[in-house]
Amino acid sequence: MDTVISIEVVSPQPQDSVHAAIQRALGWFARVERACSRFDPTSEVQQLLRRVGEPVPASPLLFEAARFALTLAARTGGAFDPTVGHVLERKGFNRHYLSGERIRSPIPTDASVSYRDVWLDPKQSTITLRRPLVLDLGAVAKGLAIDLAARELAAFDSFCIEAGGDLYARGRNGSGQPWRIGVRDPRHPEAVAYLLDVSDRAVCTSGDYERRTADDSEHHLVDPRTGRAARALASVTVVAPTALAADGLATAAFVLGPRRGLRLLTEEGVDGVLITSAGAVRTTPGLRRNTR
Amino acid sequence: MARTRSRRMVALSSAAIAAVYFAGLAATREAAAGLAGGAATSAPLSRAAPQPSATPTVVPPIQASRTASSGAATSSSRYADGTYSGTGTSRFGSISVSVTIQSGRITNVAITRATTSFPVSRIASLPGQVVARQSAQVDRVTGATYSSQAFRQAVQQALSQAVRA
Repeated sequence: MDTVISIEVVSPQPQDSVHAAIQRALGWFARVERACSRFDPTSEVQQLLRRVGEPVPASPLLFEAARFALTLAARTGGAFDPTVGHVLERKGFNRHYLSGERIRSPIPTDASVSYRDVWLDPKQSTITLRRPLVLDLGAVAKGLAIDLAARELAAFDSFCIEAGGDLYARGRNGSGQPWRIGVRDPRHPEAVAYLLDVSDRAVCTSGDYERRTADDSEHHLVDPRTGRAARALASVTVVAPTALAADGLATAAFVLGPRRGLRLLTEEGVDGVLITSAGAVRTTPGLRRNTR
Repeated sequence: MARTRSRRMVALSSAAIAAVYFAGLAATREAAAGLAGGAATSAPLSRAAPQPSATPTVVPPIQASRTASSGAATSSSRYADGTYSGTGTSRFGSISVSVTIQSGRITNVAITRATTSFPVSRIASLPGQVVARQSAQVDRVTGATYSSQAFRQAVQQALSQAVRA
């Protein structure tokens, strides 16, 4: 996972128990990566590619990540689609963050696949790839890891887990106030475009500034329906009870654009800040009542 | 889009998290039960006098460790076993790492030092909010991934020392 993880716990409990819990929380990030990394050829999700056409037993972690991603795909009519992985590879988003090695999955470049080509069997906990495809769980894996790590810290009233700009904030900060989260201005890395006060919420952002192709012509948030980068929005920040939901919905809303994206968030009962490429800020109605 | 499916995703996510977490707990318990020796005892937590601590605990060196690969390591790996240090910088700070190579593979990357300054120097048009809050201080910035560049640099620097001659 190409992110730096920071965990801050505010607690009167002894440091030893806090540190032990933090270590357990960090362990979840490694587990999620082992199961879900598109860049590691030995990860569990990449092993699916060896058994196209047959049901493959999946760990609970991989199964649930896939189930959530595929449900979100159906919910958004394919605007969000985790089978877009091979398109990302072709555009160059294929480098493992530690080794620098590039991964090249053996999939025909003109393959037309969609989320409908992945079947899940909840009773058997199996995943079936009906056709060769790359399952890209990047939009949900980080959120899921954050939520699992937060679960490890359930004994503490206040903490903040952040992984590369996505976070879960519980309780209050060190000054006894709700956690104050700045939304980065998509066009000015040193500026904050919006302020959020959150408590017991995840905050996840999808932005066109995070990862780009080598020639800087395109970013990594591809519209699966066209194969091209979505352009209307510069960033979407979602505030939701779980990072898994916030992470996935931020990506989906980004592709859907300002109008449909805002509608998706409102329909799903979460809050968000959408910043258009022109710099306009749109928010869900519930945002001003965010302070708890 | 099916409107009858509103408000499902958050509930689904909660169910997914619980399923994975408890499966993980069960697996850990099974593994622990299989180990000979004493069970882990938790020292009684002595609560300090009721002062909600204003001091965040310091985050210990972050271990971003990869589970050892199940495959056999290649004998012709480009990296020599050992532990190597590297440092990377970006305009927002610096990160120092310690990279461990075992059997030719990266088995652990620990951050040994990190300095970052939050980008709060300018606030772009916040109608009403800045006036009401009179403050530009933030706890975190969402969407800021600047620190990964320094991290990557640090790891590359460490790896460059591990490359076999």
